[in-house]
Amino acid sequence: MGISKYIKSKRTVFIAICVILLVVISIPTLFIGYKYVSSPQEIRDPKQEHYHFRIQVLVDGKAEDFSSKKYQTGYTKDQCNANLTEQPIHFHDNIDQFNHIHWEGMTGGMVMKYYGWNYIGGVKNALGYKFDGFTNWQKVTTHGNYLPGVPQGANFYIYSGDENSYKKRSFDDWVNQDLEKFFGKESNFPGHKLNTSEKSALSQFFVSRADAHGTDDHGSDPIGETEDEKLTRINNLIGNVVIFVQEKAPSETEIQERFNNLVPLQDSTCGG
Amino acid sequence: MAKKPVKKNASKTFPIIITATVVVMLALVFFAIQDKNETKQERTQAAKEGSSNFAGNLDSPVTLTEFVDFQCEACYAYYPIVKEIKEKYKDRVRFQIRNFPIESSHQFAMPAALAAEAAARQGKFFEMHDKIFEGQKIWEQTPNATETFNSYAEEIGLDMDKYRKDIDSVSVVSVVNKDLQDVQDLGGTGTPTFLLNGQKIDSPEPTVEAFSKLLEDALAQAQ
Repeated sequence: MGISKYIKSKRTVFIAICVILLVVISIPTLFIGYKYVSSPQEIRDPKQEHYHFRIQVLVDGKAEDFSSKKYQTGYTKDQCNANLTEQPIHFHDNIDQFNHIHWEGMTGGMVMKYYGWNYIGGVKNALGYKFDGFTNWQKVTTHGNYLPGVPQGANFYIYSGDENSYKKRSFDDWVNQDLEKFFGKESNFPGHKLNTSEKSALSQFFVSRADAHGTDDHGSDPIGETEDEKLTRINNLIGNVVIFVQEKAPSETEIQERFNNLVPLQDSTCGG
Repeated sequence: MAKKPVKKNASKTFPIIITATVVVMLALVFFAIQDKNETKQERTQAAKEGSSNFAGNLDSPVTLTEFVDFQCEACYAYYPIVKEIKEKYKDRVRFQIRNFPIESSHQFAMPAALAAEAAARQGKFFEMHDKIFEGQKIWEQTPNATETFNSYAEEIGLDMDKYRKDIDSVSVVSVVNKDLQDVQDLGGTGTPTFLLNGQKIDSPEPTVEAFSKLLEDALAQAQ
């Protein structure tokens, strides 16, 4: 009788310890798990990228000025950064329209959320959480809610192209597609290729390693390349998008006017 | 009668399930930490020898090392300043250039580093270094910068057969990789990264005055 009581109480203590342990482990696990599942893969495990696209947003005919201070961010000019940038998306150097994408897999929805229009849900005022291992994570906050309010009854009319030709695009494609897919053009950023190939642990950290016999040149034959094509290549520009937010569809003249108004490209390959 | 054994079984099964769950969770945490440690270990695997490109007074107690990426705009901005400083302190300071090609951002950074190291095999690293930096704004816009580097090699009088052999050789590649490994270990996150007597320092302002002050202080301390 005495022994069975002892065994019973021992079992109770064991169960109690197990339950406590389970609770202690479960709470942080659930906490981290929530952060993990609420973050898109591109944010959880970001890969370095650097391409550009030009964006114009017009709300009831008024063009948003992305060169204004509220949209702009600074960057270190006296050093070329080897690490992943903190900001996945940014405007800088007081230039309108010219948006820099620094992380792979960004979508139009992420860009809009980054500046205040959230059509993709997820974590409030953040694109999600960046994970570095199991125990280290960082909230990827948006730049701010700076885009103006969307007027009642307004629709999104989205066009991509350039001054020579453009086409109407679906809101869903803009919001959900990787920008490279949306524009139908791949970034020529060297890291883009490295990200998709098998790499050493060192290169995954921040730099790639040289391979014997493996210093291929990139790009195509320059013969026949126009000045526009050259600037597009140097700037790694993947496309232009114009977004009208208004009740009625814009006229052809209004659309063309916007594509005639693209900011000029710079003659430089560097910058933050 | 029939219910009793079921109850007994359940009371045995419950702690087993909880124990198993706890063990699985602990194992997950353990493997997550283990995986991170292994990745760190892999990162520390390195080539044997780094670059060895020195100028100035080789016996000086003060060494200024610069890790460069030949396609980096910031390195380009520092280049004339460092060149002037090298000339100014050539009798008093030892200067070293090492490689930090950020290949993920600059498609020609690695070919440029390999070209410079191949030139080093013929004792002409600094000639090549200067040529590559001075031509940065030209070759970075071409789709094939290697052709430009080859023309620089010819201009500085390299034995082209040897240069072509060296540029793809495992030994030249491993020199660059060792430099990359070393700058990573030193905590370098971008270019240029400067070291003073082997210690990483904040980049001085890109002015002759800022570098002069840095070196004068170091020389005074060394005495």
